[in-house]
Amino acid sequence: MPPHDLLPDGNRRGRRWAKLASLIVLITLLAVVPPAMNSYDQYLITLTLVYAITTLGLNVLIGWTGQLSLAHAGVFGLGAYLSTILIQHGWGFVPSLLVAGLGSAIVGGLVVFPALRFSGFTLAVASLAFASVIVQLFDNGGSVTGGGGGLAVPVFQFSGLSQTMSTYYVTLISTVLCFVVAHRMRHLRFGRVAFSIRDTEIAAVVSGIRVVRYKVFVFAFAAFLGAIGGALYAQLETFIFPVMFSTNTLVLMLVMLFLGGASSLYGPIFGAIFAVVMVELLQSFGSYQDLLYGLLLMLVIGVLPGGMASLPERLRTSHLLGRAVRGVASRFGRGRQDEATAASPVPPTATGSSLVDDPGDGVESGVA
Amino acid sequence: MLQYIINGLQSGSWYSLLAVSIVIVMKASDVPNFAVANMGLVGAFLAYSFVSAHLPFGVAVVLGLLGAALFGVIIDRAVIQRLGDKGHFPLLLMTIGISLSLAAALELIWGTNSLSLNAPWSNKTVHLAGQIINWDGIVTIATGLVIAIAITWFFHTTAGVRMRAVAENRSAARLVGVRISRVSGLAWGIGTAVAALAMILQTESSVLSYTAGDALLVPAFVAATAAGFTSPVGAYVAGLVIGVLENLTGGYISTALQSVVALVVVVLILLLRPSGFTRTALARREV
Repeated sequence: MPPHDLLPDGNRRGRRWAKLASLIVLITLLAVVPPAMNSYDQYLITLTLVYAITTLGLNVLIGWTGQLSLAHAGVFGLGAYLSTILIQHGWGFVPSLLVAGLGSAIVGGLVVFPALRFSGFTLAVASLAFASVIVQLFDNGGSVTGGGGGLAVPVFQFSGLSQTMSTYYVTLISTVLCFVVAHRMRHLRFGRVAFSIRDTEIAAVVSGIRVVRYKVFVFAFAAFLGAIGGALYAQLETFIFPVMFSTNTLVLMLVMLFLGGASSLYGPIFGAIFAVVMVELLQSFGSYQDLLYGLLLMLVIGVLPGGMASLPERLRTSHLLGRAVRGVASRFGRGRQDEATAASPVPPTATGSSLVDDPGDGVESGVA
Repeated sequence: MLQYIINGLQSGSWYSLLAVSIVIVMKASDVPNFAVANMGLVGAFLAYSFVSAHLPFGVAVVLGLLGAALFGVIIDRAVIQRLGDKGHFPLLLMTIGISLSLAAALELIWGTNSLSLNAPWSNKTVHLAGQIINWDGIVTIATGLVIAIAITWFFHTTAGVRMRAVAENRSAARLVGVRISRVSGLAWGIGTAVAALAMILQTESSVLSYTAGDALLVPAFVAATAAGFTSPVGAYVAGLVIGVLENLTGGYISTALQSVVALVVVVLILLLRPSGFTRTALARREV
């Protein structure tokens, strides 16, 4: 979705406060509830947040800027390995987390060089090969990376908290920070430039945007987020080895990105929840779980190509359900606004493609 | 040296066939088919089952290929064409979903044990120029060459020209009366059969398991990239080059570096010819 908030809207301020309040409630709940859970559930929640940060990085690349770079699992692993190696050499946790992020940002920025020359599938294959070299490095790094056997991760611990809870709180803080930064970037100049590079790069160049500079930054920022996610993942798993960062992990990230909704800010969170919850739910199906996971994935892509973040829009604009929702909404005094949407000259098919946003979105805000 | 080159040509032929399959599907559906190896494995497993049912090897392979082609057409009709107008990313993700589901389904049906698909020429060797050469190497290389020539010829037949027209300009092709859905089905059928051939040749010389396709995917995609995703001949040659380079690297430098060869090839492509090495790729770029 394009940022609605950019458009003139009378309700905007009120809605923003409501959103902010609900976010604060959510974060407070996330801070208060998990200590009461068992450690496995704490692990699952932490994993969800780690996935969300990582996928957010991929989203900035693919969803916002349209750069189909597939090196993200490698960069994720780079964050995990760099931070672990630094901690093993006596660094503190927070400095090693940041240095791993920045170091990976520099390495991730290297992917930009093929990306400047082309786009699309060629970039995808080049970056995939780049990622496989990173994983090869882990495999052949001798005593530094532990080779195929992997590395034990010295886990950071707050005094008075369990390992899992310490990792959880660090992850929660990181998640909030990353999403706040991403939210600001999305709604300021950066987001609009990213979308313009994605949709019409030539027009962006012609308008005087320094596309190269932006692309370098996008690749570095995505790698930073991926590496932070990787470093936290290492803390959570307490042991890392090269296979954890193979193509399968990349596939999982792509699934989270597109199921959650590429180009939406909060899509990665939905995608991460889906990935974690589905794996847990399907565990009881034994040997059928992989098949069910694959089929479910196919089903969701087929039914909901715009991802889960497009679901509210989809419901509102679908024929049967949409009418029901509008009926209920009108009783609460929102009818006029939604009828305007229904009567908009541009059929709102924003869910059609996850990457091409529908200009009809603006109609709603304009009338209200 | 000669041994390395022959082994390289053999593994290169597997990459080549998969890359040719990727190019064919790309022409019709404009999607990089990440499920190519696992879809090919369907044919290989079918052939294995037919051999187990005491059919002659040749008949089993032909039936396996036909089964794979049918499977490709079904996937195209049931899944790919339904997503046709939804853009690239859902399609790409769908091929990944197909690949995951297929790997799981193959594991459920044929089990996790490695099976052996034995051809009449398996484990037989021939002495040539002082070297001992496996027959399966010779058969693989010869088959790859024949298929590359056949596919090139195919693209000059009426059906092939239609396919190229669709690749060049979808709506213009539709306007002049090309039935896109038929072309798409044909491409997925032929593409899957070619992929099945690659997987039959590969599993016949090693073992047949549901993970057999994983190692072939990246080199195959690199080969397809080298051909700009447009030229089957380019994809074929690139696959052979990657195979030979990999084996020479593994033989003379280090086996750990083998998989890096693919990256070096990509970097070279990027530096020299960003849109691929072949003439058709260049022509497409000008359009």
